[in-house]
Amino acid sequence: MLALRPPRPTRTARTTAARTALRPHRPGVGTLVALLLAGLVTAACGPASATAISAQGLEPGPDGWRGLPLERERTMPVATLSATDGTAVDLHTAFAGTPTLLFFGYTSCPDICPIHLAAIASAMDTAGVSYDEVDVVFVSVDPERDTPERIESYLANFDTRMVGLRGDAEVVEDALAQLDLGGPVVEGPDPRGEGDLIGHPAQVIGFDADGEALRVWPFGARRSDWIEDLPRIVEEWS
Amino acid sequence: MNVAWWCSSTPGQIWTWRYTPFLGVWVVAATFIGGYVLAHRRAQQPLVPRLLRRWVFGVLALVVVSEWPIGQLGVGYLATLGIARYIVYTFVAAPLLLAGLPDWLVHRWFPAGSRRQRALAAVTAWPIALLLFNAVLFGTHLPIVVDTLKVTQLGSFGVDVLHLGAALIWWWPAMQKTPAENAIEEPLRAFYLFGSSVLMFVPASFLTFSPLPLYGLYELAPPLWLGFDTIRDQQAAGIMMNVVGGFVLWGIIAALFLRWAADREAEDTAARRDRDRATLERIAALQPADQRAPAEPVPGAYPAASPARGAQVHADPSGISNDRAMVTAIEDGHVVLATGPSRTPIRLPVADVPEGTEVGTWVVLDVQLHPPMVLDIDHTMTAERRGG
Repeated sequence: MLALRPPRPTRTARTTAARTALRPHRPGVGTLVALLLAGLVTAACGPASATAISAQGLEPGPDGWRGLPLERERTMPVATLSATDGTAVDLHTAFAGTPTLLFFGYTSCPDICPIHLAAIASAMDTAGVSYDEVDVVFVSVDPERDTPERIESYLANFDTRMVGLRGDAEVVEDALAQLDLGGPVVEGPDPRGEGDLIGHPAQVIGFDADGEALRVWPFGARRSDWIEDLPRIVEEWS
Repeated sequence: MNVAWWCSSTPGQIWTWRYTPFLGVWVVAATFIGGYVLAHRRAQQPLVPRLLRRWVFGVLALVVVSEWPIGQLGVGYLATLGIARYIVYTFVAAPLLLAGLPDWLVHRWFPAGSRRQRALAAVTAWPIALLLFNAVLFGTHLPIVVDTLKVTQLGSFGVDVLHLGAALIWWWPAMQKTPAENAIEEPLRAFYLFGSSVLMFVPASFLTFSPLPLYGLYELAPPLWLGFDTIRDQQAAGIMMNVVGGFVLWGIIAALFLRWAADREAEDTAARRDRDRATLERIAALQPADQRAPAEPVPGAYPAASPARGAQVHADPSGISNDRAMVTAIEDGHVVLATGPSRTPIRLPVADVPEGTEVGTWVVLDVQLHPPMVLDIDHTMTAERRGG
């Protein structure tokens, strides 16, 4: 290990020190401005808010997947919800036989939901993976505001082939609980003035064709991550 | 009220139309304006309104694109505005700031022979300036750099300082006037600026044609409105860099080139006039004295409103640029000159012909000028014609 020693003062530093020693110490305007600037610059080192998500996407795991593996076994919840056309959909059986990406969110969500859904829709398109090969299911955690029409028009912003489901709050909470996920929580008013923000799981859960949850993609997954993982999902989970 | 030092990106943070002042922007603006005024006071130099205006507009451009909302939107939400910020920093603020600097202030800040001046001279030599500018352009648009630096206020501030610094260095040789200050002259200057605009196509093309979002901070930013995808934003950013950046830069290139061309043309015109005058004087000196005397004005001749250019020269011109013409009519304040049977008559204001010009008078013209300039009455031809 290298031993560190204080650097030898430069000529300028020595001259400045000599000058300082000769005159009474009184902070000048320049010093105060420098201190103010230093304080401001130091204050600038941190992010503007406490949210800390890397903008560089997910790190590939040792197996090459970007999605994080689940250690405990979980299966597709048993829950009967409604499709946007009113038909009853049993989560556990309706998507059996096809790998499925399941996401709990709400249409007034300002950040996580549209980012996840846009990333998946774009990556499906770019990777050439069809919605017959992988089901993408959006379950609303805000049944009060999310009417079938609203869910349908919301998903149309990403891809009309995504499946939108809704159900009573208790049914959705139960479905979340089966996956060891917390229920939706009202977090307070939306700063944009659009009702309340609702806290909900931020990850997309991936189920194989047998309905077993194998991986999750937390918020921060980018299209490039999905492009890596979607072909594997089709190949390995079907 | 939420206060920050500089605009930065925080992935996942919801955009709201609630004002967030960026203190750093105001500190920088106050330093720029205050430093400028203070430097004038210390040097006891008057503020020149024209230069002050440019300096203030330069600072204003920086403030507009660095303060909320454009600063925040550009750094954290929309790549299009991010590129717009770069364009304003590079192609608007930097040249305005340089154009607002009086020469004495440059010499004061960079005294001749000082280290600072030597460093400035080294970095503003045009090949180095071109290299630095493009290194910063490419380096600060690399995804890893953007996604790493722009998520902190200090990093974002550093990138903006780099953009402005590189732009100032790049514009320096193009905007200085003397070779001692590393000035480059046309047409090299046009190529210098044009070369950079071509290099700018490279990052712009990556933005426009990449099938995936290049920057995570824009991809993971909460959308301002649904349906406006990150890819479309990125494509718009690339097009903006190419088209808007290109237009601004090419507009500046054209303006600088036209100004240079106009200066050169004025110099050429002055040189040609001097040469014509010298030729005529030389010829006049060779003619017999009796032929040099100006012809007496013919009674009833048209009186000129003012002394004409070259009115004191009496000669038979023989320079290649000169020609003779006869006044065929005087109408509506203009004289009509016939330079040959098959040529279009020339109309010139009466103020531009020598005193004593009338119908039938022959004049000497410089036909290389547009419009041709009457140098003098051709007394020999006029007398011959009258005599004949």
